[in-house]
Amino acid sequence: MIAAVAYKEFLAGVLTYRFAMAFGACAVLMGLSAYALVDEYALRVEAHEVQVVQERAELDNIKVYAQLLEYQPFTHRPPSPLAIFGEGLEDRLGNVLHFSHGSVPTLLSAPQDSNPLMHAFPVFDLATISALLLSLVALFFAYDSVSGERQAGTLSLLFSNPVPRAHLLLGKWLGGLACTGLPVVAGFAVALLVALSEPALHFTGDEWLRIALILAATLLYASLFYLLGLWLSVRVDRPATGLVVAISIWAVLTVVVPTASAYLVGELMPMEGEREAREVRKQVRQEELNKRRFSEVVDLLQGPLPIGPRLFSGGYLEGIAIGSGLYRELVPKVQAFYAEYEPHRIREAEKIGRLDDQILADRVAQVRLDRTIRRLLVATAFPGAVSALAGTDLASYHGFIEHARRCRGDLVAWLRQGGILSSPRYFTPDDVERAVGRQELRAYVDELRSRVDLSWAERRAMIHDFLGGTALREWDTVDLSRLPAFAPYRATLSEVVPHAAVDLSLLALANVLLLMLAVHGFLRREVV
Amino acid sequence: MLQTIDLTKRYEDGVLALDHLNLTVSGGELFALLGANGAGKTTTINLVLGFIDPTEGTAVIDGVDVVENPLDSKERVAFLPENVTLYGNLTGLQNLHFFARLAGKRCTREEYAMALRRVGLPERAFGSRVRTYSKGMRQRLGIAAVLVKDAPVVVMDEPTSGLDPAGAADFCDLLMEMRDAGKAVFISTHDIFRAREIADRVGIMKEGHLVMVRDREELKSEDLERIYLDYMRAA
Repeated sequence: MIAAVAYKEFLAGVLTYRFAMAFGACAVLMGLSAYALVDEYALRVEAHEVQVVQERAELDNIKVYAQLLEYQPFTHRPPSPLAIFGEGLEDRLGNVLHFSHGSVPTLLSAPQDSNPLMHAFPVFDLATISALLLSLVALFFAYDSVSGERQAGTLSLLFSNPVPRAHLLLGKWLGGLACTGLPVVAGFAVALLVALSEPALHFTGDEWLRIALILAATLLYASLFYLLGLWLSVRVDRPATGLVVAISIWAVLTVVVPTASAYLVGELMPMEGEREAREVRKQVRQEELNKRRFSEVVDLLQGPLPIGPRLFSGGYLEGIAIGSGLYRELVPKVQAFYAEYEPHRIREAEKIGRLDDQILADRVAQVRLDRTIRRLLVATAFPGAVSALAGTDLASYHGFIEHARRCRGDLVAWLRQGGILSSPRYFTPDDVERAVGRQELRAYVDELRSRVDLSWAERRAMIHDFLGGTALREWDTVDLSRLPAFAPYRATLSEVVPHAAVDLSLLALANVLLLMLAVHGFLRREVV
Repeated sequence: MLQTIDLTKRYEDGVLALDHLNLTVSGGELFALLGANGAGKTTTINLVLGFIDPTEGTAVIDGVDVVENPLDSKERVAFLPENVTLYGNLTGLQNLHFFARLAGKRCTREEYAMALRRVGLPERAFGSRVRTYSKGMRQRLGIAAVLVKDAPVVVMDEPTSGLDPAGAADFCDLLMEMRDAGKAVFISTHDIFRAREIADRVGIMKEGHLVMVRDREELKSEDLERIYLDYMRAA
């Protein structure tokens, strides 16, 4: 019987102008949005690939291992093709994270000019369009579902038949949801067709599953608003009243709440100027570090030496003639210094990482409070669920940071296990300085550095030729080919689902509650 | 059989709409209930169909208490409201199919078509959307739904209201067919002349009370219109 009512409701809904308008609006707007975002994705992928090549080329500048502190290794995450569904923070955070044994990647490592937490205006991705358009469509389908039948007189005909009222309402819900869902599915289909027409974009099996979950979340969201409209239509006598109330609630949930939430968070958790606080804390931290390093250096070397701070912050032994008496005197001392100091540097970097986390703790707490407030009104949980499933939310970026920290752990282990930190090769290229004039070599290397089209092997061969094939082995003391492979980060289904679980559960729970409210009202409502 | 026993309804605002109504409509009988607006006719129908709960008393449809077993009782009664609107976006056949399914019936397309022919709906209208129907056509479609349900009790609220004379005459023929088929037919109406013509018994309701009941034989020798007006004018 539920199926019969659902079929009737679907049929009666599909054969209306509002369905045609909803269908057209979803297909056109979602298609256009996908077209724009896919184009943007292609540009992002291209920019990302160039960036990765350039970052790799930067590593070629390294002549001693200590320069890993300057030309830092990195890991990256390719732009998410699912960003067309929920852009989230995709375009606001960088896709490359640097690290070294002297620095731990944190959220502060994100580009300063595109602070993800300061952006307030949404991008018109499929989630935003769904949040605004779909909610309205669902309300338009539902606002007169019961009150309209009461006004037309068909409700008494329905009730004169041996069908439990709860079944009637369930049928109405399912049929109405099918009506609302069809434009959504059509919109998704158009968006996917547009997306798949872009050669740079293709989905993995994992991503197809996530798309299915995003579609399910979208239908859950549509159902929520349909049930809201259905409940209103049970409560009010006249469809017009239901429409006015429905539009008012829609405006509150989709426009007022997100705006008011940000304001409320600012009032509840006022913060000092974050940028200033961040700068001050950085300065304090750096001063402490510098103070400690130089005092230790002076102690260790037993007196002032003609060397600058660059040596100890990651440069290599320069300005001192190789093979000179000073050089021979200095190398063992500096070697001893680094052997002693670098483990401290590693621990210091980890402390600084924790300090950075604390600096951001207030802001992260604000973001979480904002999401919690929005979740209380459930409807706004939807965009959060979609960006979580798309892997473009803050939690996913935290996953990227954790991945980068694991990569750093691999780097540190590699440096320690190879005895690199206590080797002269950590800070001096030694023999090469004798074979080739230093300035001449540097000019040639700089020239090669600008040639991003060259591979590492090609550069290596050219330097070999430049050095006359004699001193290459001595010069090429840094063997980066043995660096751990820092794989790119890709958010997987098993990682993103827990991030979306709270929002999805809230949406499902709200659906159940609204359905119960609607059924309760329908059971108690008199027919006449 | 339709039966009411001391059926009473007092609304929340204190208005006594129906006061201890005792009435029986047997199978094969057509009962017409007359009365002014607000006399309690529609309240009686709403109570009989279980749309509202009685303050006192019971309504029984084919031996089933309406309040205690609402779904069972609704299996045994077919209802036609005063204004049959149905679903304008659906065709006549689709509407009929839907209400048959609600009634627990599964018929073939030909059986639906036969029902529509029987109520005099033109063939071309079967597949047309109901929003293009005239009031008379919608009323006929409603009766087709009643016929398809094939319940032992039929309840109709002002069924000839708004119909043209020919349509009303056809409609009355259908009512008598149902009565002759053994169904208990209960109609509320303002149409004294039709009531006298087709009803086996006629009742007059005033201010929630059934003030008069006459059978066909008694009405042969009495002027129903005068009786009705006398009751209406009486204080």
